[in-house]
Amino acid sequence: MAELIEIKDVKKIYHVGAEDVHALDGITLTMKKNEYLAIMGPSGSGKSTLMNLIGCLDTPTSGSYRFNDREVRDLSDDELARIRNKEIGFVFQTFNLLPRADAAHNVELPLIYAGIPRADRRRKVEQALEAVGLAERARHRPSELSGGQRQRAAIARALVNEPSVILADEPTGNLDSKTGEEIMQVFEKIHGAGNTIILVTHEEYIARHSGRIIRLRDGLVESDVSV
Amino acid sequence: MREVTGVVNESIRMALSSLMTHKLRAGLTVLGIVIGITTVVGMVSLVQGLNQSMARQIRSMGTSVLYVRKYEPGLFMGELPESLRHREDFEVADAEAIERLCPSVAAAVPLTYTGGVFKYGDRETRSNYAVGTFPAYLDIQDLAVSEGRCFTEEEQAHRADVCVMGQDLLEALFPHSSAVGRWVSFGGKRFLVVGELEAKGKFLGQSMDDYALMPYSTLQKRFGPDLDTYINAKPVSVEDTEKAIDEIKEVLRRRRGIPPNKSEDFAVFTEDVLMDLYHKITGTFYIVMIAISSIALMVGGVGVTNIMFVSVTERTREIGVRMAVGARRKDVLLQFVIEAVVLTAAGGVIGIALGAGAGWLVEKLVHIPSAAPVWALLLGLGFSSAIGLFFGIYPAVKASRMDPVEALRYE
Ligand SMILES: Nc1ncnc2c1ncn2[C@@H]1O[C@H](COP(=O)(O)OP(=O)(O)OP(=O)(O)O)[C@@H](O)[C@H]1O
Ligand SMILES: [Mg+2]
Repeated sequence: MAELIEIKDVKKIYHVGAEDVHALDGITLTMKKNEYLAIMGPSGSGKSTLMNLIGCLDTPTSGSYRFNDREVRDLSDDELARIRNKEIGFVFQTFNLLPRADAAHNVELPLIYAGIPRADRRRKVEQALEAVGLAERARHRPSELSGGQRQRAAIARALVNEPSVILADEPTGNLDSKTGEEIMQVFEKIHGAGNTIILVTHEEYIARHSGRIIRLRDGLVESDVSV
Repeated sequence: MREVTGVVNESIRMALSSLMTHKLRAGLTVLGIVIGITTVVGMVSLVQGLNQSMARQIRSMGTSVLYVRKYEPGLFMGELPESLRHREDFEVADAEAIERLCPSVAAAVPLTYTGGVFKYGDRETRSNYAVGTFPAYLDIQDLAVSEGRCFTEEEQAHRADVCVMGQDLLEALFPHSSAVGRWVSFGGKRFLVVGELEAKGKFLGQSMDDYALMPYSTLQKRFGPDLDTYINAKPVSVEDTEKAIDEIKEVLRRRRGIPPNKSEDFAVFTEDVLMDLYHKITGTFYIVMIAISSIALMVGGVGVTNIMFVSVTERTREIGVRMAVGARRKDVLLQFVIEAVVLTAAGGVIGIALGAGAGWLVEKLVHIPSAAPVWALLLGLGFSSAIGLFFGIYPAVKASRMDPVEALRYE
């Protein structure tokens, strides 16, 4: 099977004043479909930077990143947007739901940008909310939901377009450990349903849910262990 | 196409929700646009209403009246120019000569007038006026007597103290009975009412029945001799109007001894000139309106740009989220442009309602007719939307150029 993600010697350098910050300093890694990968590492080691690159929100300073056999550097803004829309589902630590839209509307967003007709959108939103156990709260706004429920809504939004990979950057970081564990159950369930997941975490017990753990330090891969 | 409608619907939905969350802010922002559109729609309604009643009026006048005056009516700033004020007055003989010597003129009469109050018993009219003329005036002006009769040539020749009253005067002095055969007083003199004029109605909110007719000689005898004399005439047929004007000019030039190389010191014109003057006045009206409303719309537009910048900054994170879930730059651009257009179009709708309402109110209160034509309403809506487009595009471009990672990181 072809690799889903192929990263070769990728660097990301930020210029802060006169100083160069090497957020990623030559990362090489590959990932197959249906893998469940956890990325760990100390704060500032480059985890979020790597996630943004994989999610096509950002482009590397140097090196090659091939997603589904396409060199991301050569893609236009519109093509990157299309990949983020159809191939990638983001889950953030701070949920990043639109405050003025209810749960169903938030989940609907990727479908709107995908140009899916209204009736199909409604059905897919229902299914996604069902899959994360939030069907009853469809008409609630984020402010009317608990932290765990907000993250479920965000996961439903990431799932709804059936992406090739779901990227979750510290999805349990803002939740207590019991709610965090519930969210991990959700990830396990969707992984079981055939989804590919990359998850950033600080917690060993969270990482243990995955099948492979990569540790970063100072923008480099320190270890890459499959369990 | 299907793709666009989804994003457009989404944008309108978000724009309305944002409008609802910031009602006061939105209201203050579009105030200038509301004022501008109100002005445009209100003024257009009034001018259109005036136009309609003007056209109706001209049609009802039937044959054209020729006006012989010292100068053409025009828009004069302040005092009348010296040269015009000192022009020679007309005489009865001028009118008689015109009628006798111009083959294309059916009738010509002198006229003169003076203002005053008519009294009968303890009743009196508000300030009105008396017109002194010949009986043919009725024919020239297309007037009719509804009761009694007009004064006669003999009465004109003998300076008889008789008059024919307009409906406004009758209403004020004789609300319940006929006036014919009664003596009324005007300017301290007594006049016998011999007839009543048929109602002519209102024109531009001004009554056309607020005077009485009497013999020219009577008015000059009682109130002269300092009153100006004018001449009204009527062509044989409407087609002869131009010819009649030329003939009148020729006769008057000869009587006044004006050499061919000199221009005449009098004017002969028809309602066309009045119509031109009217168009000049409404044209000025339109210019003032455009000036007021464009200032208001500019101010409103800048306000929209400002508030859209605020909105874009406030929602930086939202922009990041939308980009992360697949919004293209043009989708973000479209969203904020639509939001600005919804904002200004809402202001436009309020302005249209207020403008049409103002026109209606003026019609009810001052009886100046108003008519809000559909094109003015659509123009108002289109213009306010265009302002949203123009003044909203820059903030929207700024939103669409955001870096998704930066936007998501924004606190
Ligand atoms: N936009 C930026 N400009 C400058 N430096 C940046 C920028 N983004 C990240 N960095 C730097 O890059 C390095 C890696 O940051 P990154 O956010 O990837 O760390 P992280 O591993 O996700 O940390 P944490 O666990 O705290 O989230 C840090 O030193 C950070 O200061
Ligand atoms: Mg991070």
